[in-house]
Amino acid sequence: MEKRLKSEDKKLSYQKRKGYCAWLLLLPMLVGLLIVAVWPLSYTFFYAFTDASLSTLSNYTFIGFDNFWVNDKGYWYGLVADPLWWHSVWNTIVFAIGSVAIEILLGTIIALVMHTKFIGCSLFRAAMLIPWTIPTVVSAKIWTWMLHDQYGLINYLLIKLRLIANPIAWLADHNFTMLTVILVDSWKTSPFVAMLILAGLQMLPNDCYEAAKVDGIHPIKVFFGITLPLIRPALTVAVLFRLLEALRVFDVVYIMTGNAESTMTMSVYARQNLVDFQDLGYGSAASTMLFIVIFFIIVLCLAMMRADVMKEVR
Amino acid sequence: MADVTMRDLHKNFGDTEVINGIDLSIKDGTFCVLVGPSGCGKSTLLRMIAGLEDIDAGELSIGGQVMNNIDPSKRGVSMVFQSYALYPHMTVYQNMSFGLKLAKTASETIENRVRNAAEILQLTDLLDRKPKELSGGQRQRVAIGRAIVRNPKAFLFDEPLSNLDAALRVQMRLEISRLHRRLGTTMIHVTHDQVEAMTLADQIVVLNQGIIEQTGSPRDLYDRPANVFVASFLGSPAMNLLKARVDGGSVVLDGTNSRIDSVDGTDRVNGPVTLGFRPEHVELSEDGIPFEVEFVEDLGDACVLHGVLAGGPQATVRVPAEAVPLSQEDRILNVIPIDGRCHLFDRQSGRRC
Amino acid sequence: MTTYNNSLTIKIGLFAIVSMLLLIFLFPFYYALITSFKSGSSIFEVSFFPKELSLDNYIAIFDEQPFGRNFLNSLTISIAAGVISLLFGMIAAMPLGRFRFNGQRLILLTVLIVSMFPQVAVLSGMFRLIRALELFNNPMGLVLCYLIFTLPFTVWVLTSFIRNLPVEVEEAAIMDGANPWVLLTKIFFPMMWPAIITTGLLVFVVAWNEFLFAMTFTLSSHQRTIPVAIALINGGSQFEVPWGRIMAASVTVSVPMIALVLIFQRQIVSGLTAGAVKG
Repeated sequence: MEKRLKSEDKKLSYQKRKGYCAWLLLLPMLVGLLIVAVWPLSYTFFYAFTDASLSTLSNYTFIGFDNFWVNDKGYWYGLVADPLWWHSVWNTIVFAIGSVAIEILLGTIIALVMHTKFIGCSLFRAAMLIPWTIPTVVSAKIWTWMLHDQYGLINYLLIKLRLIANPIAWLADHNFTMLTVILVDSWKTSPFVAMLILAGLQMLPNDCYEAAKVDGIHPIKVFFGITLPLIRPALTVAVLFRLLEALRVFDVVYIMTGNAESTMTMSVYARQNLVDFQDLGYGSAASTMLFIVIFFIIVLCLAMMRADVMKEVR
Repeated sequence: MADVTMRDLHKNFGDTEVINGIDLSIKDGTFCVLVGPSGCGKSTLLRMIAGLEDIDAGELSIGGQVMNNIDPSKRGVSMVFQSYALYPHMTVYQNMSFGLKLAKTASETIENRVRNAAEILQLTDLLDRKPKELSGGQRQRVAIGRAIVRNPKAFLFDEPLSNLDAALRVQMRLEISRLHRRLGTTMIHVTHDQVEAMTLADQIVVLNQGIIEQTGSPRDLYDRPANVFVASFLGSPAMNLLKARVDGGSVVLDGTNSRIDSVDGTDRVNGPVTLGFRPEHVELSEDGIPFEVEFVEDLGDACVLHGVLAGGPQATVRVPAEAVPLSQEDRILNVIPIDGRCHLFDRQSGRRC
Repeated sequence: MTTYNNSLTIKIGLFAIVSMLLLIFLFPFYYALITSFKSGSSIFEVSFFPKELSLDNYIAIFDEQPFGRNFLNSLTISIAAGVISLLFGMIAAMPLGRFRFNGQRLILLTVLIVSMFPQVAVLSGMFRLIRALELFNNPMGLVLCYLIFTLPFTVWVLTSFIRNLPVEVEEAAIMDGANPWVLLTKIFFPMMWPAIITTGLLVFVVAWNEFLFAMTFTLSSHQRTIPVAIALINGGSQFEVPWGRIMAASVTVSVPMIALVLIFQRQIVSGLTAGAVKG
């Protein structure tokens, strides 16, 4: 470049100045994120290595990895040695896989119906959005009421239909609690998943379907042969989105079953230690682990998606 | 004084060189058309003049002033975009006055200039409308009006007619031409349409792969293309370019024995060349070269015949309709390029001999 | 033609699926509604049609607890969080969507990752922040907390929207002498109204529904938001859960949200899908 003519003008070019201007415009957002995201997260990481208590925030000592594991007189203590923590990890995984699977299935069905044109279809779409817009607290409470073991509608109906003989304690019997929580979460979130899938459906080229119609291909074959492969990117996004949300689930579990062990997720476990037991250090250690697990899954998913995209490019 | 001068301009997008050393001077008041196939860098060059793209190396001056690092709005140029790029939320009047307002022009001046431009472009009745209430042609006129009110030293047009339908395109072409005559301002117009280039330009610049292939008046380029690229790019149907060799002052088509005499330049070369002649520069003649017609396109006033010349290469000729009775397919005609209308190009470099 | 093309069969099938979905997804609200109108012991009898229209439960929630105040809290917090994120988001979305500069991808990735932060992971740090700013038990503290998810979301959706706006309009404005600020306020802002409304709505919904921060960072019943207030409605003992009141409160909160959905259905759908397509 040196050999070529260079402008004598020392002023920055327009594009360069635009670059600096970009940072200026980004400043408010970046400062905002620094305050509400980076700063608190760093403090969580920091507290994870202390014995801080919620009541005495500023009075703590640095205890290294003791919150994670410590050997005291031959016994192991700490997060890694706590069977309840591992139980909550297991519960979270069960919840995530179960709810995401149901939501994707149900969401696809709803999306396909939404994609169809019929009288009142826009009203149908609006109706499907309602469960998603209502606070989780409200939907969890409504379902808790409907699932009430003595006066609940669900048990009443099942007994009337002679499907069960005695009322089931959906939210107390540990055989059912996880299933119940998964179903209620799916009820609330499937419409949202349907929206994401609908977005994928709406971008599909129409001529594929017309060609299939002309060729007289059976609709079920059309679905598995054309629709499903084409909406795969949308499905991947939906799965990723929901998986990340399900792994940090708190509201629905906490409201329906409280701190019960049979449904305790990582978030519930961390909050219980942080708030109920006032153990800021230990709770922060659990939060940190939760963050690391989720971060690891994000990276894994992004890597998988990239590999997926690469395959499609070739 | 609003000459536009470029000295050794360069532009890269990452590793790809888009503009590869452009030297060009456009005299004040010239209507200059940048033309070339898509991806040749013509739009990028225009955007560099406008200031929307940085200049990586070289020097650009407008009216004698170096403009490399001057803000787009301070270069004294106005641009008309392909998609019109009107502000959808503003009325026609607001669209046209926006730039002047930002430049803090006195309100009477704004009023006068907008009214004046609206008059020129017959937009006076539409000043209170929003862009979505206008037709394609009207939107294009508003876009031009927005350029006019700023009293620029040069107008830049980025394929402004390509979004219009054929009939409207011809009409707008005339309007732009008329506008140029009325204002007498330098105009730089980018297009991929060679008809637009030929009809509008005082000066055509043919670009290919980031360099200038040839520049000159439309007549120059049509009559004396500097190389095979320009020869094939301008003119429709495209010029016939046939492999041939010069042998003792006449041209012999490869693979045939047909000789063509009295071609310019045969005295300067010997050996393999590319012979070029335009389809319209052909006469029917008893002692011409046999031309086996395979396909006839009847244009009404003329017929374009596609076929095989002397049993060898494919060629196209254009003859007056009355010269050829219809249904001439599979017939053999005898044709000969008109004297002095043949071009010889170097086989290797493609340059004119 | 083969049998599956029988349009009547398809119509009946579609009708069956639609009715079933509507039943599954809407019936709980209906059941909450009829429960909320029951009083006394009739609440413990399952019924499918309202037998009485008692407003006792509705009166009670406003009478026995500061439900009106909670409602107002939720409204203020959600609107404030929405307005602040929209303001910051708009300003940030323009350079992210339109300019070319080093570090652009990095910032977008950061924004995406922050939007996926588990709330619990920042809970202790956030508690520290709230304490440090003396915003504990103060609705304004919640506005600050909510920015952690509303801000990245706004930036993300608005950036993807601004990318779809025609580039040439922006360039025309630059030729007209618009600096980035003029570009933002005079060109992009007016062109983005639909996106701003959509994003604002979604942010409002998310903030309105938030539970964990609101529960952890408020103490007194006057400072609570609606979701916390509903979660904490309880009777004299564990065995006397006042279901009628809980349902009345649920209906009260749901009505404005349902109205919002019905009015802005199109915008909400487009907002959700805009965020997803880019993902």
